[in-house]
Amino acid sequence: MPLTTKEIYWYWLTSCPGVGIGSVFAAADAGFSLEQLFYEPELLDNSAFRFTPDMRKNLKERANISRLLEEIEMHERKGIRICTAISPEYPQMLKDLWRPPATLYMKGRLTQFTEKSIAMVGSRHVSRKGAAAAKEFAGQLAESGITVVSGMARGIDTQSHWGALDAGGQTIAVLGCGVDVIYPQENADLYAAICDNGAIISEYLPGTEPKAQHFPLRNRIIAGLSQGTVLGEAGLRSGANITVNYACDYNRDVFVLHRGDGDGNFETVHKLLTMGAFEVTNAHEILDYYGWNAEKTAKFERKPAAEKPSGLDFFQEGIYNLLLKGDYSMQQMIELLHQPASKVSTALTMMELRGVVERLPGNQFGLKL
Amino acid sequence: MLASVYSGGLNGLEGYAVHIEVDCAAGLPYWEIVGLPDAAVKESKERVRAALRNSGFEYPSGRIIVNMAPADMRKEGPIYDLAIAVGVLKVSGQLEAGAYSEALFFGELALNGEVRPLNGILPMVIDAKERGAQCVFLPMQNAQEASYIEGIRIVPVSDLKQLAAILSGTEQPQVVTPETFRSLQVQEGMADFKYIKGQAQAKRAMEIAVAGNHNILLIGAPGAGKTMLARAIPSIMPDLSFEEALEITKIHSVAGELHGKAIVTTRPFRSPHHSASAPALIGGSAKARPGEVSLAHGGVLFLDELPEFKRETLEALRQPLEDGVVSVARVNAKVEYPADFMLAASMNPCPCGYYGDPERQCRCTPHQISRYLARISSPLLDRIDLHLEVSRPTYQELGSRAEEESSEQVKKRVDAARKIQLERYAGKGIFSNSQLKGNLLMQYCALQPSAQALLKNAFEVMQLSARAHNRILMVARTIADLEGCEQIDEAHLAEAIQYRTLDRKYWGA
Repeated sequence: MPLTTKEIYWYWLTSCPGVGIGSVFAAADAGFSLEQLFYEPELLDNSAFRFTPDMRKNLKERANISRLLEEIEMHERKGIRICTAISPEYPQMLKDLWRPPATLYMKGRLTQFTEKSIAMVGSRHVSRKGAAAAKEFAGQLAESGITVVSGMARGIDTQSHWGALDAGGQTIAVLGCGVDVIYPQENADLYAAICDNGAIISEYLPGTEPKAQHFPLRNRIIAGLSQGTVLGEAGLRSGANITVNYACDYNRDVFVLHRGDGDGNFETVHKLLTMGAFEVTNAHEILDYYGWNAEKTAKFERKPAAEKPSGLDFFQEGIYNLLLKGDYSMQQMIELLHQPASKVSTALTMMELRGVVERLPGNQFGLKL
Repeated sequence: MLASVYSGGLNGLEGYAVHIEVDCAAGLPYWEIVGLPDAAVKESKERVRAALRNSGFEYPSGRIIVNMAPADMRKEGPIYDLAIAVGVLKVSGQLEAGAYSEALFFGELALNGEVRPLNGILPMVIDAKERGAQCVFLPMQNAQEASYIEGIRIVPVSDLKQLAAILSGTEQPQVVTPETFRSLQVQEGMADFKYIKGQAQAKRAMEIAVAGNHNILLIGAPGAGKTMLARAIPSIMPDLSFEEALEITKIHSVAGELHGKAIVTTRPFRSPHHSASAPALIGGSAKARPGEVSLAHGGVLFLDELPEFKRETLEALRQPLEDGVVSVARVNAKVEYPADFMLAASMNPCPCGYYGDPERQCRCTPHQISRYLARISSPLLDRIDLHLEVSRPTYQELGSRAEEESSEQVKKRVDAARKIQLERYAGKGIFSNSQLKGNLLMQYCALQPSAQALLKNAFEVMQLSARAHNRILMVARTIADLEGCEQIDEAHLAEAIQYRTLDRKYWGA
């Protein structure tokens, strides 16, 4: 749908770096319409606006309809849609916020935002079990028809997106850079998959590089787009704290993911539990909480604690029992089992080939999750 | 008047005969050396003159011309002082060399007439012997080094006066008696497996690597004990034979790395710093000195912090790793040095060093890690058969009082496995599993269907890269040899697969 003239004026003003919804309000307070500003750019010098000289220069230069149309067409050629706060497809949930993002840039198939969306956030440095739990939970949410919102960062974010995508569901990634910038680089596959089955959105102009100060702000969109925020593994200094704070500010719900027997950093989880956050172990609890019905017949009972695989020989069973207690390095296993290195190596390869154990970085081994 | 004296020179490890003629004619005092002398040879004029005077001889007046044949070979170093001095004494009639007219002279002179030691005595004397020389005179301090050579009379001299006395027959020379060689592979105070607590897997990998002559890469966090493990490798390598020891000593002699030792009795362990240049590693510079790869000949070349080495330095390693020799180009010649070594390298798993460490959080991004790993080119990685992750020992392991196996015991198994390989490959032009290629690989690493299936399964499940295939077979062959098995079975393969860490997808993915 082509942008209306009003939307174009809106885009003109808010696509200038540093200009946000506050400037739109300031214009309204001063009694100027955006159209007026556009055709009489000298009004921008009015002290009602707190524009820097750079911003004024940018706006005055771009106050030209053919130039704006060219810009918009360029975005469209890259598959980027512009969604201003006055556009009909602008997510309703964001409109409820205090100072929502003035203009969103979007990429991907998903165009309709639903109220049934849940954010999943957590640490970038995540333990194996913490990652697996987040992925599984996101999968359950997606299977029940809930959109999973996250930030495409490393760790929990990445796992949550993949969980939703692998379950055939929808997911939204909110970026702290332009929607055409893939950050972190190693998530290029994920980026492409989300474009195909979800949406990438950002309030930053396409081409904007990721900057540290962008991420706390993007977290407010993650919290704002979701009915509730589920916190996975996270330490006290994790950026997930910011998202949780926004969710509270916006009067949305905060859940924490049951930590299970994970050995990662769960400091924030514990903090939130003491503050009364709702602990969840599977997506049913979220559905029940909101009274949502699962769209598909979701059958996501937690996988039963892996049964002892059959066909292990006596020695391999010993290794299996040891690994039930946690991950061990090969050296530790050799000592605990009092067996020569060659025998342990051989047994571990055999068990790995059977899909019982998994080799982890640092010569560590753990049971396959 | 004319006098002639014999000496020798070195081109790489190869010696050649040098014939020195001294002519003294009447005329104004004058001195010239011809025959492509370098600066050190030219300066011998001053040393010879002072040494003669201070030893109570007379320096003849007149035109002295010293000619060094062959005239087209460059003569380097202070080797010829002694020979020139003898020539001058002869030409001035102060000495009759009678019985020793065919002898060779090597030595640098001090101004007081003392004879100073030289580098490269061993290859020069060996070469002289092969050319049929009967007797050599050399510096006293080099006597030990030359004492392992049989079939030639070696006369050490400490100063010019003593030399003159011997030549004129007034003093009996104390001829060096040839010594018998004894390899001292396991020495007191050397790195030994029994001093390394825990690390059973790493030790096992070392044993396999040495048994099959495989190169090995150790990966681990700082302080995991990579260097200590590598230092212990020579202690489990097979004993040196006399021929090997002689060859290693020759190289060390040329490089001046003998440090007073008569002969190298232990396998060398060289660990150049990662700032080393390509010429330092490979050999070269104006004098075509042997580089670290040649000094490690017969032993271990340990490259600590492999990714920190400059790329061109590492690429230069490919020729010696492939051929076991290295050619060093000089301005007007090419010198070949043997460079048959076992490569042991170490690296951190990531730039910060703590990737995968259970206790410390790694702060590297996956992108940084893959860039770090990419610093080692795959052709080089292809030459390394075993990759091993070394984890940091815990306090309990370090404090454990458990008796660790000594290098001596490990070496017995290594020797047995090497013997099997030598017998199997007799007449095939190779001597260890690490050299298996093409047809021979197919022949000696043939797998039973069940083992074949296991390998195929491993490739699918573990997403191994294609280059791992032959390496796994070769390492499995060595493991089978250590157990004395004719046939490679599943257990051997399964163990070998554990030593291909860097081919696995989980790393930096």
